[in-house]
Amino acid sequence: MAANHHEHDHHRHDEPESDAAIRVKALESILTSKGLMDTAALDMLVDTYENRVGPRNGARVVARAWVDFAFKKRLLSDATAAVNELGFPPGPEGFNLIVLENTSKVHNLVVCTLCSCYPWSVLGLPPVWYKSPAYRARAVSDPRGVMREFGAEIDDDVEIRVWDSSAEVRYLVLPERPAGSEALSEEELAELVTRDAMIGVAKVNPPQGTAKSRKRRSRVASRV
Amino acid sequence: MSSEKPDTKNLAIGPEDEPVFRSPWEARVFSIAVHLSRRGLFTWEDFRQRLIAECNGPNASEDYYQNWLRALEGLLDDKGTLIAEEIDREIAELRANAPAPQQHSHDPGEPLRTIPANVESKRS
Repeated sequence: MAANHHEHDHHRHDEPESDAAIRVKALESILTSKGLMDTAALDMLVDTYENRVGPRNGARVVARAWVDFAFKKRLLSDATAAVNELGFPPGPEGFNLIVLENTSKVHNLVVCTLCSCYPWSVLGLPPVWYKSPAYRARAVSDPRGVMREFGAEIDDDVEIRVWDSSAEVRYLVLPERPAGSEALSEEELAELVTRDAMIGVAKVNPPQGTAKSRKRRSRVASRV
Repeated sequence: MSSEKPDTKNLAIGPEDEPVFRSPWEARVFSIAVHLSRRGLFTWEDFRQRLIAECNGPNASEDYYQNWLRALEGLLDDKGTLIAEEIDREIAELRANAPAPQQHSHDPGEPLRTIPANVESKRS
């Protein structure tokens, strides 16, 4: 046991529940007997972060900022209030949301070097890689390399700013609006925005299939 | 900055729509911590400090919610809400009462119900 305690196979047929699963069950049972649990509240929290609150919220914020300059100004000066306007209230944990604008000269990237702090109200819960020691270290030591892994190449003349999330402050990156998206509606713009772009490890790609991007890609396509 | 971190390690990037929780216990332990904090048993910052310690301590797990679970247990122990022995006792009890593990045998065994072919309707 001691030699291979990291070798647990969590899908063994003869082990119906992992150690962690039974531990959590025990914890919950004790808390219930102490009158501290509320199953309905727990189910609602899980439902909220599995189904209701996620990066689509952030994408709507970004799209609104791209089409509405006054909103963008409010977003950059008081993001918590501006995001609340769209129906995404801050949680009771009391994080202050800050929006960082990417430009042709500055690219922002967000990490939590200590654990996993993340802007829940606009992005939901963080992906596995965001919480990994590898990302937490490499976002600081090699941000360009990290972005390359996500398929984003940042020109050498662009300044990169790495932001460390903290107890009080959570960051959302406002990516650059891609070329060729001029004719798109706010809803269509929101569809272009990815979670990774709002963390700052990627850029928002130009829309597929619009007249302009089709023209731009025609040379590539003609090889086929 | 500590230079012991695995700076060259691959990020193991998953798809954008990877599941929020990888198993039901992750969802459970996440929501228990948030719920108890919102109930006022501890502040979110109390929990965050514990989580930081677990994520960066000698027993840090690659499995993020294992760290989350240990942070929560440690904090509840600190606050006197429950003691570690209570959990161990409860686990022993749960294990003792757990149904025998399924064998997933390839022997077909007995059918649950057999409906005979309707050769001839015979009444008894």
